[in-house]
Amino acid sequence: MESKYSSLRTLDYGRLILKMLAVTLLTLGAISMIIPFLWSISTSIKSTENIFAHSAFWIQWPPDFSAYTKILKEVPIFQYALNTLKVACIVTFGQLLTSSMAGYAFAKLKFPGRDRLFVFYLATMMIPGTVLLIPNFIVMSKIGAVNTHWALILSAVGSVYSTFLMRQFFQTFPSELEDAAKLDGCTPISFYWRILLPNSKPILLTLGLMAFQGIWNDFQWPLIVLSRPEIRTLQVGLSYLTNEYYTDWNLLMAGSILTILPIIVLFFFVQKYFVQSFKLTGLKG
Amino acid sequence: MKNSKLFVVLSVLLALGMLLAACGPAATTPAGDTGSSAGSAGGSVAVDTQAASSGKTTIKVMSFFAYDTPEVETAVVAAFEKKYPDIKVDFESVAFSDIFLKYKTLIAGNTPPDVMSMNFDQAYSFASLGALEPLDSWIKSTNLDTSIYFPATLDMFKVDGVQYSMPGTFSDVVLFYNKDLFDAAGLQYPNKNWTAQDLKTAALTLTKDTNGDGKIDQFGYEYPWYPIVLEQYNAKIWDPTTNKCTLNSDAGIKALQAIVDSRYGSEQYAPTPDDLNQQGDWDMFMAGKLAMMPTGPWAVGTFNQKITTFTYDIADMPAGEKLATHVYANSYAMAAGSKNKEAAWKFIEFATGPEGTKIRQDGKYEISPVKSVADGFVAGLAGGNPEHASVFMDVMSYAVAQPVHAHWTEMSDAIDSELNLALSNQKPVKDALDAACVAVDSILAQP
Amino acid sequence: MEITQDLTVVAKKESSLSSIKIREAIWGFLFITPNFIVVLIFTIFPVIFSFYMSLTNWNILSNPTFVGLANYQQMLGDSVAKETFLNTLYYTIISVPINVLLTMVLAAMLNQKMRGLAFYRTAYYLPVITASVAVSLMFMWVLSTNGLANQLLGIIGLQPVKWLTDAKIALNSVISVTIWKSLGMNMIIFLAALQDVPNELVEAAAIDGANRVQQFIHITVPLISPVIFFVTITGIIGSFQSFDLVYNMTKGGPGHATTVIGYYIWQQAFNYMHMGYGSALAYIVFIAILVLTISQWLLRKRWVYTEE
Repeated sequence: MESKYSSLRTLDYGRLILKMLAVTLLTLGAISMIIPFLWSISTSIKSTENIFAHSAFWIQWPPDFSAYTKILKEVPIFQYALNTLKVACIVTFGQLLTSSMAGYAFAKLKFPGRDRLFVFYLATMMIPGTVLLIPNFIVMSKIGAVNTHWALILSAVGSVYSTFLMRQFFQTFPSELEDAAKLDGCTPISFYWRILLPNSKPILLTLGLMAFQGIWNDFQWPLIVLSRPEIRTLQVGLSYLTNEYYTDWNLLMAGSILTILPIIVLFFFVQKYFVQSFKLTGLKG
Repeated sequence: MKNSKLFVVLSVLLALGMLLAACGPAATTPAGDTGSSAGSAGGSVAVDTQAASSGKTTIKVMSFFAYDTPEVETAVVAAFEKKYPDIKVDFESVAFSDIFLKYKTLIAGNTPPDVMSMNFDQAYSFASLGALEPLDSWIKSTNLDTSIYFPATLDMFKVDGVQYSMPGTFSDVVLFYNKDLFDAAGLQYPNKNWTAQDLKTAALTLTKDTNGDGKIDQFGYEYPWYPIVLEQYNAKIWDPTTNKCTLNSDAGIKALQAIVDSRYGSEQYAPTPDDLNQQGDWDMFMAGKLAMMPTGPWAVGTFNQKITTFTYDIADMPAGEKLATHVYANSYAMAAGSKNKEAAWKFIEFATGPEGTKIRQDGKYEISPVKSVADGFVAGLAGGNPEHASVFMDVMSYAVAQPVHAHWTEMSDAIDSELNLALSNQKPVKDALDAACVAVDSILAQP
Repeated sequence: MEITQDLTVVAKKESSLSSIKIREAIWGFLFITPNFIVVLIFTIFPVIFSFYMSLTNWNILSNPTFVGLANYQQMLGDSVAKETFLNTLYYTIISVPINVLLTMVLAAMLNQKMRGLAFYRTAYYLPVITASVAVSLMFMWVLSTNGLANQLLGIIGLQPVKWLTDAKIALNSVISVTIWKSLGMNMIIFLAALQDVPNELVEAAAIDGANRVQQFIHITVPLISPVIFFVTITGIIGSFQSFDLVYNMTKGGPGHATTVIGYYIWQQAFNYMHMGYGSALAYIVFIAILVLTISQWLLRKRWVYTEE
């Protein structure tokens, strides 16, 4: 919200100091956020004997990439990544579609029982997922989805969380635009497709990122429903790096770095769309 | 406008189509969506039809054995399939930390694996709750000679005298020590006759502040898991005859006070939980910062690979009131709901017999419970590291199995939450044990 | 296909109010259907099933027996359940408001044009995707007796604190780490929400002489209030359910000092194989969240700007 009118004001030292303080705090916070990540990287390139031999912030140079080569050699990481990518893309697309549609209906369309149904939706989120694990498995088992990627896709493609999120976002959508569209003879479907969605890119991207990341990082559910090695997801495939009695920290960290890199790239791409737009000055579509 | 109508129809169809598509494979074959060969798709429907046509039975086996060196257990499976060409094993290796959750879910969904690997306490729990097939009649009908096993490893997998699974490995806890630190301090190596006082004297000498910053950074000893210490002090967690907690008996208090004193007494020689938060005990030992540590043969592989700067060896556990240690074992069990019990038993018989356990032992995954095979364990340790590996066998003359209960996990957690307060010096030992006993008694009172 | 024929009539002025309403209702149902079918089968059915489980005595491995409300009665005498429930309530009351406020301010700051914007945003998002186990291990080091936190305290002459092993402090340490790790998640939701705030309004306020803080409180906050509502509710739900960080850092100890109800339910249901009792606990959590949500829901008309 950098105002272009600020230059018109007289220079205010108090504000300047305040701004400096804010930037300093922001930077300190950011540093604290990156340290564990940097430390994961530095641990992943340490030789085993050096992991605890020095202080946590000591960096081994030249680096030892044996943890990475070991993973690449012993885990079919590309196949697992491809499996995960496939599921994550289907889920992301499906979840965006179903939850934006339902979110729109809950937010903007009036139909009998709408609010009661929505409260019921919300209520299902409040049951701790722990006790839904076995019922979910039984459903998947009954429809024959166990041991296929369908078990991952179906359980995630219709998300209550995302529907709730979309509803809340669509509520903030200016009703003037909606009324204008109605007067123009726009049906709900064309309003949804031509006006609502194109003007909701930031939240669609955010939700897409969250859906993708949810599947990408999920461990417990794929562990339980997938048994055949060739359909394993990345996180399950990499759990091979853990040991019953002892943790090989450099292997574990290398594995975790490899899995989060794609998400970082994705995030970087998504956040670029968070720039103040002037979309509401005119009607698109 | 035309497009948007189409869009509604399409999206509804898409959603329905997903459901239908998901229902599709169940009726025909669970071959899945990656186009894999039908043989590896482990669904019992496909398996049964296949069995009818080719006369081949497929069994599903899940195991955590040698999880981080997968080639070991797959070699056992391959040897089995070679010996029984009419049985195909659909083998899945799952980490120890996750496998029991998977078993539980699969059993709840009525699709248990035919054969499951177990450890000593889960085997007891699964058997008492009715998930495992009693094996006595199978043992009898195939004339299996059970005298080839160490008796303690067989007894561990009995519930009320009935054998519910067969041991595939065993391990016991002994004292690992850093020889170089002993040499440097001019101390004699630990031996079987060590008393609690000998241990303390040596440990105190080995406890040091090596860099002079006022904090201890090299410790003498770390006590083993408390049930072993209880055993050494003749204390029991509960008395099976009265079904009451006996943890807060004088013997129990004495045993646990010994651990607390080693950490927080005026003469400290063991790392505190705070110290261990920074660096686990294995890492401390491998870094030469912990002179003596009790652990089992499962550590040998990692230690031999990672300890390069000093030599280590093993000895009998130092005595408390008496010489004592625990023996643990892992086993293979048959699911009560298995549909291929004949083949499942053949697999268990093989994988826990001389042939299967030898492959596992040669693969450095613990020790064979079959006495004749276990004799080869020491010779099999290349380079004679640790030098006195025979200690692992010698302690079997007095090692006992840890007491278990159908609700052992719950009991263990209840004890831990109180005990950790005592062991981190936040609560007097007696108070903590009294509180733990209240919880244990209520667990013991469960049906 | 009759519906689609109806569409062409939309603009006709003679269509009565009620037929417009009916048409809108039909559209509403159509839009909900794909989501509803999936949610019905894969969420609502399991929820109902789990309620049935809460009325049984079930050890997972053999058949359940129906026991009525016995599990709920058992809870009354379960002191550990009470302790973990209170821990969770404390955890929620502390962490949710802090999280919502911090992330909102953070998003507002990171929505301005500034140098290194992408870096800051990515940095704050990193903990969200960094593996829990890496974060836990890092903080176990930082918070250990000789760790970084105590070294800093030492510099300013304070006594070392047992961050994770003192029963009185451990829960607060765990809460801090949780807030730290989850900032980035709500940050991107707020960032997305801020993109929907029309600049004209904010600039108009600026011309009227409102300062930044006033603009934010009087213009931006009301406009994004539905999202604040979302973040609050999901925050409450999350804090009643999640436990992986707690589990990795303290295993719920010392004592039960950091055991949260989500972890306790997990233990009861899967580790101790009291699935019935675990499910009953889950339904108590459900009621607690429901009460907190209803109170927000009733309040929302006061502060959620666009709720009609």
